[in-house]
Amino acid sequence: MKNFIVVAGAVVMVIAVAATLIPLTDKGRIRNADFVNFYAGASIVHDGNGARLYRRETQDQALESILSEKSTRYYLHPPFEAAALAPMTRLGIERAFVLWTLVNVALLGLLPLVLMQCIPLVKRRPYLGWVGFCFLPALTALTLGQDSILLLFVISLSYMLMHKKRDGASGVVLALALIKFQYLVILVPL
Amino acid sequence: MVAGFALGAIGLTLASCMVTGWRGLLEYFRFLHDFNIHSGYGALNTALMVNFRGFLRGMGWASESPVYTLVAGAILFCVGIACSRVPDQANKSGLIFAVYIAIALVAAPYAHFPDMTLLLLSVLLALDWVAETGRETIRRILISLCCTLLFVWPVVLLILHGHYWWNSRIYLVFPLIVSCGNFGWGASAV
Repeated sequence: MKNFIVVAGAVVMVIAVAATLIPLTDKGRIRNADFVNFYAGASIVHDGNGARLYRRETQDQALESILSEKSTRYYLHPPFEAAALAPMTRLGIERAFVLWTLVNVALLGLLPLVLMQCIPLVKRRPYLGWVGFCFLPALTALTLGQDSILLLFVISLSYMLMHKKRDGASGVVLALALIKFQYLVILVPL
Repeated sequence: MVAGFALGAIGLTLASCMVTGWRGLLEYFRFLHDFNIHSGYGALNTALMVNFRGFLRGMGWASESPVYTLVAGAILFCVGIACSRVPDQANKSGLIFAVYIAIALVAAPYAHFPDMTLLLLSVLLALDWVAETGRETIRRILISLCCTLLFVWPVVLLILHGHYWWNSRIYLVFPLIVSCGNFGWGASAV
């Protein structure tokens, strides 16, 4: 029953955000969002220019074609993330931003499903897993189109598997956190 | 877990190679290095970071020398190692993982405000420990206070138009929060 409530809650949140975001999203609002660099990196890979992904001139060209102006919002994440996001570039940047935001809202909404299995407090009170919607860094990540919520979900999933003594699977999942490898440099040795 | 992580990391490295090729992958690290030493071609401002590097810049230590950051990272890493030596008699594994995440964020060379989304897992693990402990002790109160401040303080900064903590004397509260956290942790370790 608790699982059903969490899933239903997440669906309601996704629908509510979609209804709010779709009419409001335009290129002007997205211009300063971090999502632009993900979209640029993904576009380069989608166009078959992966080998030149980390050249300034390639990224300058991609950013200019997306924003119709110069930008220094370079794509700095690993290549596999750009490849994973590449299908999204079939949509225009506005639609892709909405889709990416909805994915993040869904991940944040479904977070209690993961945490219920490893944190007794969340198991007793699943709604506590939704406090992310009141947490300013998470809201900022949503607004900017950052991938921090995805990272939170991945590390939570890895912790849950570790808690269940499934260490191998936990390690494999943790490897997905290499999208921001600077944290794993410290976290993995610890 | 390390084996699983290594397997996942190798898989993602191979996937990345398929996207960019080996040379493209090497270009990635050169690109990151260039971005870092040129202060991000105008997009990277270390003063906006929420890690130790940003703390040093915010305090006026404008030197871009990585020595301070490396020393700080090493100290924090040692703190993490010390935490891992605490016997797991009082079901503290969740609390220790929460500390690891916090250390990884603070010691990382590149961390911005949305990345603090990861602290949500730390907060829930710490609150779970507080709930499980049962007794009303000073350490429970202090840890609860720290967790609450993580939600409240960014909003207070926004309301007071500080936005970044060094914009006003409001930063004086941070040593207090850290002291509370340390005292709570130290007391819990006894």
